[in-house]
Amino acid sequence: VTLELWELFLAALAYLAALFLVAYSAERGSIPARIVAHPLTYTLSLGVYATSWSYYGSVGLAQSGGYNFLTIYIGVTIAFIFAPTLGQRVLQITRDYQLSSLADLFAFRYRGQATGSLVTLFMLFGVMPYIALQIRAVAESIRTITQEAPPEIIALVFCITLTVFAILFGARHITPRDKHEGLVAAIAFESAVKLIALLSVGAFAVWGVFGGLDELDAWLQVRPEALDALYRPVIEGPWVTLLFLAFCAAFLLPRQFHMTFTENLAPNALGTASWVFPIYLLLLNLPIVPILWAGQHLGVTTSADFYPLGIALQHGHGALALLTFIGGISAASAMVIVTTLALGSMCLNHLVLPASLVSSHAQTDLYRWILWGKRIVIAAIIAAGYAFYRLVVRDEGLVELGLISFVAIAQLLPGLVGLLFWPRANRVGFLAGLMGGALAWFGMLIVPLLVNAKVLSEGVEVSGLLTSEGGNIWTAATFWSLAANSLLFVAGSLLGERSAEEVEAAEICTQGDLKPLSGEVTETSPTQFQRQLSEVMGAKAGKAEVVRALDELQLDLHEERPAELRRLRERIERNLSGLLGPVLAQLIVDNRLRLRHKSQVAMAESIRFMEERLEDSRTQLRGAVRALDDLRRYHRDVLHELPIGVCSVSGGGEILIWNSAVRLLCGIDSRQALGRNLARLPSPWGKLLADFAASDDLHRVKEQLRFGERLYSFNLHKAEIAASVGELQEAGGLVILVEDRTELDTLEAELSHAARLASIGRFAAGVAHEIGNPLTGIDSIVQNMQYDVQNLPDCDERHELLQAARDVRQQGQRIGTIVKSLLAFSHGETLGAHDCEPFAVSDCIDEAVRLVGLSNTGKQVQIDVSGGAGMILTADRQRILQVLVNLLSNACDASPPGGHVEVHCGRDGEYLSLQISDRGCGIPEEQRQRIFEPFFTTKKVGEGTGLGLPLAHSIIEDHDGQLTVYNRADGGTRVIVRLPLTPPQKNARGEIA
Amino acid sequence: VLLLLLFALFLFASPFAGWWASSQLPWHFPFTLWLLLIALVAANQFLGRRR
Repeated sequence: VTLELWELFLAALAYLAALFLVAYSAERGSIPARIVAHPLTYTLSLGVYATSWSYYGSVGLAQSGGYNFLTIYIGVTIAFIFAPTLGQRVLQITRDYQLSSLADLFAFRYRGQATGSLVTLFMLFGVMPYIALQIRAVAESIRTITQEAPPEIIALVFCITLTVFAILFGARHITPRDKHEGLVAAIAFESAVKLIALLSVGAFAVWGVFGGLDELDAWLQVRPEALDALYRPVIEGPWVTLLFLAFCAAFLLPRQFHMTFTENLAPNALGTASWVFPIYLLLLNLPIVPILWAGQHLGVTTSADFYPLGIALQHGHGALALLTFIGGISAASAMVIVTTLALGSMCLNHLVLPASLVSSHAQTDLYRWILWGKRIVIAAIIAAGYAFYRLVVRDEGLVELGLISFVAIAQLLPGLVGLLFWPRANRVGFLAGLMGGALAWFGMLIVPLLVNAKVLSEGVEVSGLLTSEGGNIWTAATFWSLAANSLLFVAGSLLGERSAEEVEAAEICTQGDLKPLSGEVTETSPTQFQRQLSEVMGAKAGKAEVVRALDELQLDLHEERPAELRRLRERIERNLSGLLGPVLAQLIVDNRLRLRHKSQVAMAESIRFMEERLEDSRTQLRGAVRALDDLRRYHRDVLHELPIGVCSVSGGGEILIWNSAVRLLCGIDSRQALGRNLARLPSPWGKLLADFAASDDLHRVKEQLRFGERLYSFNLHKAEIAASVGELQEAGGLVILVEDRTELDTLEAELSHAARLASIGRFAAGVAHEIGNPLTGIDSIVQNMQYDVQNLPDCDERHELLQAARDVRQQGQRIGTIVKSLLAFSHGETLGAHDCEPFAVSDCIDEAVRLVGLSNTGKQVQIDVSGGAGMILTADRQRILQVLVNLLSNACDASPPGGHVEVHCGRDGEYLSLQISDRGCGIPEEQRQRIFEPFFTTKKVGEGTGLGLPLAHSIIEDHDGQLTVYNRADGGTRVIVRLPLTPPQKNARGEIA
Repeated sequence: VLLLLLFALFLFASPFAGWWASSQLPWHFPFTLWLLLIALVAANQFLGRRR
């Protein structure tokens, strides 16, 4: 069975369109983020490792090299043992410093444009056979199926289609630095497709061709040489060399680095990938052997590389052949797309941009420029791959082309080992080693390829010279290239000098971030940052980069703290590194945002940095260091949670500690305060604290600040900090304590009030005693007079005298009651239940009005009473009357002659509400605060004792009511008395039950 | 991790590899060894997380 070319083309196009749909859906959020960022999706995306080489070439290698084909995957399994440790470290470095490719990583460590450019060029040449391999595999697979199509034309169409899709996947937006969720989802989908396709072919080989596993075993019994052909090359072939090459390729292939680190959406997924990815590879390789034997069994005429297609076609299984073809397209397209994206980023950052940015105009939109640059580079790389396929590739197997790239990739291993473990390694050593290894690789593997393709007429047989008799070319090429590389690397590193940047980068790569940011930026605001960057990047990019960094650091455009501006500069450099590569980013930032290196490290930054480092490395602390860290945490927490405001400042006035109490007191967030100069805190705290810090006072008591209507009171204390704490030895400075004493002042005032009341009480008791005795005498005399008058003949005079006597006695009783109240006030007595009786409120009010009407002022004022009819109050009637008389008297005194006093009585739920309003002059605010203090009066001497309102207040409180005094908005005063209609039950001690 | 690496090298890059390659074992034996290594890596990962 054969398929038509147009059918294959349409199927491939439909598949790539479906792939794009997956990517588009993931980017638009149609596929939930939890699925896209899931460790399994990430692991599947690493399946980009399995290319046409794995898909087709493994069968060919199994035929020629037996189980050697497994080394390419077992080597990766061994490498992934290190994924959760070393892989995590590389991921941390690439994330922290926004390094998006291998060239970025090496250029960051072995500082210099030459490093990035050389790695990029070498990767470009090294990977070219690999890209050519994919193009050839697709072209050959189509020719195998159609039996007629010219492969060159098919290859060209495939390349053009891939160029379009590579641009669509990785260079569609003007945000080239962001991660491509769509790409991760699409590559994961591709991995699943090729696995399903290969497993289907494998299943067809076992059950469709042989008829089952037992039949396969029976076939092997008859053909023992088939099994022997698999095992023998393990002993005789380059088994260990291939294992080693695959080990190197696991992370160093540009596409693997890209998917493992650059497109990583979940850092912890590396742990899962360390064992799930090998399972994926194992499943992918399981069908290879049955497919090989099925091809041999059927006597398929195609090359062994294309047995997966051949057995389906020979069996007349068109659908399976189409599925296999789609799987092949999937494997090839994933590799080419991701590799070109990774190489595109390298070429742009290390070849194109350094040459062009110097001459670019400030008006250029850098983002658009980068986007178009990337698109052109992608097209150029695929075109170069096609050219390599046409000009160089002849009759080499797929695996041979792949292995040439693997040996090239292995040349980065010494550099990576140096990056992770050897601080002494330097740029000179790295460049020398890489060039030496590249030369050996070129001479031993590329020259024979070029000679074979007749690109070179004749070449020096370097490989022949360096390969021992009976030896293997892959082992020899790997050994000699890496030997030259490693020797030159070590020698160059030992002999060469390291720049300051290299020393810093080495420390970061081998030990993590060790030092806080030093220096002070000359620009003093983010706006100045924007202006500076715009001059080299264009206005749009310059502004956007600063805004982006501000957002990430949660700062605003008005930020002016030197430590925060230093962090902003660092963040901009890291962000630019993701966009332009670390070398250009450093160049731009160093030139445009200059540092004053003489400035010492901002103390706030040092402390923040040390805290972060200790937090990050906490899990690694052991023994005494761990115990010390626990102690440090305890002290820090004590300081932070201290219920008194603590603020420490450096010698330069920079705030270093701002605990939670001072944060609450001042209402200034720690983020806003830390690193800021004390004097620049928001008003009024900045001035208050800076003045205090600058003064000679060690303590200040009752510093008062007004917030709104309320006056707050603070005690301030300070102490100098001795300058002897290691890295912070230059800190010195002060610790300032801020104590809020507002509540304490209120309590003191209440205590003083209580003491004063007690003193008044003692005085009142004496006075009451002295008044009580003559009062009893007066009452007796008036009573006798009353009896005498009653015996007189009935006449008007007699009635008047009797009324006068009754009034005198009534007033006497009132005095008696007041005296009793004074005694009660002085002895702190509370209202007894037996004193309460129900009475009509209106009668009580009327009586109070009548009594007040007897006074001089009462006679001049009209008292209007409303409400209260029928309301019954259970209370001590005499005392309530006393209160009413008091309040009415005050109201009359405050009212002008002829004025009106309004008394309104009403019900407010379970309470009686009594309002007494006058239209007098009101009470000034400062006097209103004191009106319940005994003997406080605004009346003239002799007109008031200052006991009326305190007594009234005390009586109402005794009844569990409230007495409040307001100034009316339209002038005058309103007193509101609220009393429970039925007093709550109290026990013998006067407590409410 | 180092023990795992040593074990992997023992399985696939030591005289033991020569032994199993020359012992007329079933065709799926290398896959079994490979699976064993993966299982150990997974177990190490789980134990590490629990710690």
